[in-house]
Amino acid sequence: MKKILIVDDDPIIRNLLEQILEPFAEKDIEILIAENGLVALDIIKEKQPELIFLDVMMPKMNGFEVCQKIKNNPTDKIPYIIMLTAKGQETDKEKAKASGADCYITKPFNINDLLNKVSEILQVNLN
Amino acid sequence: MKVKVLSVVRFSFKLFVALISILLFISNVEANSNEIYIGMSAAFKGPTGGLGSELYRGSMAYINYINDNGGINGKKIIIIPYDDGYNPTPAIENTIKLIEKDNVFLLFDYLGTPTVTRVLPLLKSYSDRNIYLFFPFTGAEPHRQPPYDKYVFNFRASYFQETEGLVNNFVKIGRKRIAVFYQADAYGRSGWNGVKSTLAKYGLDIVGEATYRRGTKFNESMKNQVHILRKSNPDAIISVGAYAACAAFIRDARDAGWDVPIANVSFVGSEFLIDLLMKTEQETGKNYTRNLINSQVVPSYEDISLSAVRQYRDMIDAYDPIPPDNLIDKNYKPLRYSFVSFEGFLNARLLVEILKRMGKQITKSNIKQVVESIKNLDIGIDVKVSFSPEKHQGIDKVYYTTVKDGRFIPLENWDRWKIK
Amino acid sequence: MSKLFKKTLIMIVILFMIIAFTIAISTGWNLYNDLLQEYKSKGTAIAKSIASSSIETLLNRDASTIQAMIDRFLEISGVSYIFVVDANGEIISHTFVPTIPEEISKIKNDKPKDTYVKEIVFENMGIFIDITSPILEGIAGYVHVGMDKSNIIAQIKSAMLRQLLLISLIFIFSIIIAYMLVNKVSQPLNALTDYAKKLTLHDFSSPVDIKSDDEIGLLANTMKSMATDLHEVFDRYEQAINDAIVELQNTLAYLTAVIDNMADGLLVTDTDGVITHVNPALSHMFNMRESDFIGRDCRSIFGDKFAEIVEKSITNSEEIFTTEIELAQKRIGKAVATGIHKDTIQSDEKGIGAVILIRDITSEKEVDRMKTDFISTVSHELRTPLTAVKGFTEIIKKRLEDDIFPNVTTDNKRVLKSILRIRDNINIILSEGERLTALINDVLDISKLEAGRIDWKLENVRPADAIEQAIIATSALFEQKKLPLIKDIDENLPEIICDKDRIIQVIINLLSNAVKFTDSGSVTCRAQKLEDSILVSISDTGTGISETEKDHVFEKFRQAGDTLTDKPTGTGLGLSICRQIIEHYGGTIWVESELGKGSTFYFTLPLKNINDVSDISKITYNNIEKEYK
Repeated sequence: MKKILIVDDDPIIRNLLEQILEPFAEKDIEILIAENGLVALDIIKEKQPELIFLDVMMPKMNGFEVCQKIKNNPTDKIPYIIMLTAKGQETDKEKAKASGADCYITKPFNINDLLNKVSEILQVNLN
Repeated sequence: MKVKVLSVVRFSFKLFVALISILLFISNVEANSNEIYIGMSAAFKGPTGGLGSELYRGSMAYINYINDNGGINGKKIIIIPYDDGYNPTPAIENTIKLIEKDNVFLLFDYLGTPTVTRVLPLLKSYSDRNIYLFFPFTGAEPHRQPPYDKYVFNFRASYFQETEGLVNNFVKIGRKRIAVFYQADAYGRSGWNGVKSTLAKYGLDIVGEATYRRGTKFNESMKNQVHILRKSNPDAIISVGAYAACAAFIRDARDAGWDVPIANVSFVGSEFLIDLLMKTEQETGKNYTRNLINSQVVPSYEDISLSAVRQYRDMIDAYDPIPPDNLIDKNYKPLRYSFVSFEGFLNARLLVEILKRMGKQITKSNIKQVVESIKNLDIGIDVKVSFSPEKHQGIDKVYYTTVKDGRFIPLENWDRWKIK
Repeated sequence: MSKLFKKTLIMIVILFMIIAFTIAISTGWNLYNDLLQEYKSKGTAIAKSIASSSIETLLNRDASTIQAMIDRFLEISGVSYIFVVDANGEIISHTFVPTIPEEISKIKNDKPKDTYVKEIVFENMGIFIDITSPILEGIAGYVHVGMDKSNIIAQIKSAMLRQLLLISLIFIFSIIIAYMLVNKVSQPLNALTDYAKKLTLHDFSSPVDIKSDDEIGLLANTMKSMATDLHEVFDRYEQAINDAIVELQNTLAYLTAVIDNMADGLLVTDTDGVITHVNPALSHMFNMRESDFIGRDCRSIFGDKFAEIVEKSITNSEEIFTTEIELAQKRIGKAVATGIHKDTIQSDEKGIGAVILIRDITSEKEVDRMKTDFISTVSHELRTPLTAVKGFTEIIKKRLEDDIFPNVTTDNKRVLKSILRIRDNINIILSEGERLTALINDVLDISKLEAGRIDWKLENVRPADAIEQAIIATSALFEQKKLPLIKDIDENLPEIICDKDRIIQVIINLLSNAVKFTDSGSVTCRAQKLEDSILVSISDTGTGISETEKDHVFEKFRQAGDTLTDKPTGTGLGLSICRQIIEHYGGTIWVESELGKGSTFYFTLPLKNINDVSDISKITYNNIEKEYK
C-alpha cells in the first residue's frame, strides 16, 4: 500500500490536505499525519511513505532540516518530498533544492494542480 | 754871529766826543780796560768731553791764581769756552763766533786734530787780524808745518815725536813687529804716519793696522779690530786714539787673551783710560792694566821735584776749577790731577808769561814777535821752552809712563818687555 | 658701493698699478742713472779737488793734513771711502774702518792718466764706484774716491717708495673723489633701485627723497607717482584679496565644519586610491584615528570591493559606484564613490581622485531586514489562512457538486434556487479568493521590488520564447472571452539578458489587461528588433484609456475605470510591477491609447553585449547582497 505523509504544524492545513487527498485515500493509499518534524521522522522510519508533503515553517525543526535528515538517512524507499510554504522567495526555493526537496509549492496552491502532481508521482489515476 | 759860533762849538764838541769814543772803541778792540779775552773751543761734552774739561780746569787753576794776583798788568784773563764736541764744524763756528762776536784777543787750549786742522784755514783768512792759536792740545803736523804753522804756537811735542819715541823704544827691546790701532781721522793718521816714518828708518813697516771711527764709545766692540791686528801677529801695538775707544780696544784685546804691550799717546787721556779699565776690572775681575805704556808730552804730576808740579798741585787743589755749568758733561768727574790738566796748567803758565812779556802794549800785532823771541824759558819743568820764527813748538820732550797700582807712573826701563 | 663703481674700480686699480709700476720703474731707472752719473761726477769732482789741493801736502808727505782733507770730503753724501796713494804706491791716508779691505790692494796701484771711474765690489761691503784721479799727473800719487753704490740703490728705493706713496695717495684721493662723484649718481640710482625693489615687494613705505634737478630727479618723481598709483591699486586688490580670503576662509571653515560635522563619513582619495582626507565621522565609523587613514591605500583598509568602486569612479568620473562595507562594531555602511569630475577641478589629468561617502546603514539594514522579515511573515501569515479558505472552499464546492447537488432531487424552486445561489456564492468566494491571492502576491511582489529584495536573474532570453510562454499561460483568458490573439513576431530576434520569468510575468500582465478590457475585436502581440533594443507591443481594441488616465496608469492601485460604478477587476498593481521590471532591465514601458478605440502597451528591452553587464549593476544593491551574506 502506498503512503502519503503530511507534515505540518497547522491543524487546519493538515485537515485541508487530508480532505484534498481524500480521493487518493479511496484508492487505497494511506494518508499519514505528522505534526512536527520529529514525529515525521519516526513515521518515515516506520511506515516509509512514498510521498511526503513537508511544510517549511515549523517549530523545533523546520522543513529544510527534516528534508535534509530524510535525505541523509535513506531508507529502502526514497520518498518524494514536496515542500509547502507561504514563502515564495527564490532563496527559499534554492534552499529547498539544496536540502533535497524534489518539489516546491507555494501556498495557496491550486488543488487540481496538486492532485495531478500526486497522481503523477504515485502513478495513480483518479478518474 | 753868536749863533754861528755856538753851533760850531757844539758841532766840534760832538765830533770830539765821537772821535774819543771811536778811539776808545778801537782801543777796546785790543784789550778792554780790565780784561783780556781768550777764546777756547774744545770738547767739553761727549766721549772726549773729559779732555776739554780737564784742559780747561788746568788752565783755569793758573789763570785764577794770576787774576787773583793782579792779572796781567791789572788786566784779568777771561777764557770764553765753547764746546765743539771734538767735531770740526762746531769748532769752526765757535772760532768765528769767538773772533767776530766775542772779539777775543787770541785763541787758546783748542782740543783735537780734526777740529784744529779745520780751523787752520780760518786762521789764515783772519791773518790780517793777527789771530793766533795758542797751545792746542794736539800733536798733529798740519799746524806745525807750513803753511799754517804761521798762525799757531804749539807747546807740546808732536805725535810724530811721541810715536817716534815709542817706536824707537820698542825696536830697541826687539819688538820690531809693530801694529797700529788708530782713530780714522787726521789725528790717527798723524800717529800712524809717525810710526810708519820712524819704522821706515829701520827699514821696517807697520805690520798691521786697524781703525775706529771718532766718537766711538767705550761700550762698543773693538773685537773686529783686535782680530784684524792679531792676524798680523805684532809684538807691540801703538794705539793712537781717544780714551773711550782705546780702553775698549784694550779690554777686548785682553778679553781675547792677547797680552801684547799696548802703547797710547798723550792725547788719549791717560787717567780716563785707566778709570774705564779699572771699572771693567771690578766688573770682570780681569786685569786690564798690564802691559800698558803711555807716552806723555808733559812731565808726571807726581814728580814734585819740579816746581811747576808743586805749583800745579797747590793751585789746582786751591781753586779746584770746573767748566762752567753749560759746558759740564753729566758724566764728567773732575780728576784731582791729570796729565791733561797739568798740560792745561802749563799752557796757561806759558801764555801768562807771554802776555806779561808784551808789557803795556797788549796788542795782537805784538804777539808774534813776543812769542818768537822766547828762548829757553823756564816754566818750572825739566826742559826749557823755546820758540823761533821757524819753530812754533815750545818743547820737544816726550815722557813715558806705565800703569802700576791703578796709576800711571814714569817708565824708565823698557826691559821688562824685551824680546830676546 | 655702487656696482658701477665696483666694475670700474678694478679696472682703475689695474690701470693705476700698471701706471705706478711703470712710472716707478722708469723713475727708478732714470734716478739710478742720474744718481750714478751724479755719484760719478761727485766722486770725480771730489777726487779732482783732492788731487789738486793735496799736491803740496803729498809732496811733503804730510799724511795728517791729507787725512784732515779727505775726512772733510767723507761728510759728503754718497762718499764711502777716500784714500790717497803716494808716489811709491803706498796708501798714505785712508778713511777705512776697521781696516783697508783686501780688494783695495787690487786697485791701489792703478795709475790712470786721467780721472778713471770703475766699479768695485768689496766682500761684506757691497758695490762701490771707485774714481781714481792722478795727483800732479801721477807724480805725487793718486787719490781714490769710493762712492757707495748701495747708497744709490737705497736712495732709489726711498725715492721710488716716496713716489709710489705719493701716487698712491693721489690715487686714493682720486678714488675718493671718483667715489663721491659716482656716488652722487649711483646713490640716487641705488635709492631708486631699492625703492623699485620695495615696490615689487609691495612695500610702499619710505619713499625716496631725491630732489635733484636732472634726469634722476625726474625718474624719482615718476617712480614716486607710479608708486602712489600702485599703492592704491594694491591697497584695493589687497582689500579685495583680504575680503576674498575672509570669504574663502569662512567658506572653508563652513565646509570644514560641514564636513567635520557630517554624520556620514567622507573619504577623499587621489587617482591611485591613496587616502588624502577623512572626516571625523569616518574615523569614528571605523574606530581609527585620522592619521591611520592618510597616505594609505584604500584597498589595504577597506578591502577589494571598496578599492574597485574607487577605481571605477576615478575612471568613470561621471558615474556613481556603490558598495556596502563593514564598519566598526559590526555595523554596516554604504559607500558611495564618485570621481572628482575634471570640470570642477582645473587639472590636466582625468580626475584628481575620488570622493567616497559612507553612510551608516545599519539601522536601514535593520529596517530592511525587518521589512523582509515582515514580508516573509506577512506572506506566510496571510497565505496560510488563505490556503485554508481557498482549499476548503474548493473542497466544499467539490463535495457539493460531486456528492450533494446531484443527490438533491427536488422540484422545490426554492431549493433549486438555493442550490444555484450556493453554487454562485461558492464561485464568488473562490474567485474572490483568487483575487485575494493575486492581490497578496502582487503586494508582496511590489514591496519586494521596491525594497530591492528581488533576486534579479540575468539570463539569455529569447524574446520569442518568453512571448510564447506568456501566450500559453493566458490562453484560457482568451478562450473564455473568445478573443483572437494575433501574433506578429519578427524572426531572428536577438537574445536579451534578463529574468525570463519576470519578462513572462510582464507579458502575461499586459495580455491579461488587454483581454480584460476588450470585449470585442482582437489583441495583437508584436515584437520587433530596434537598433539596440527589442520592442514588444500588445494592442487591443478595447475601451481605451483617457488622456488624463494615461499619465497615472502605471501607478500603484490604479485601475481602469476607477469610478464607483465599475467593479474593480484587478489588483491595480500589475502595471506598476511591469514598470519596475522593465525599467530594472534598462527598458522603457509606455502606453498609447484612444478612448473607445483601444490601447497599445509598448515596452523596450535593450540589447546588450554580454560584456556590458556592468551597466546593469548601476543602481543596485543586489550584487552586494551576496557579499553581505
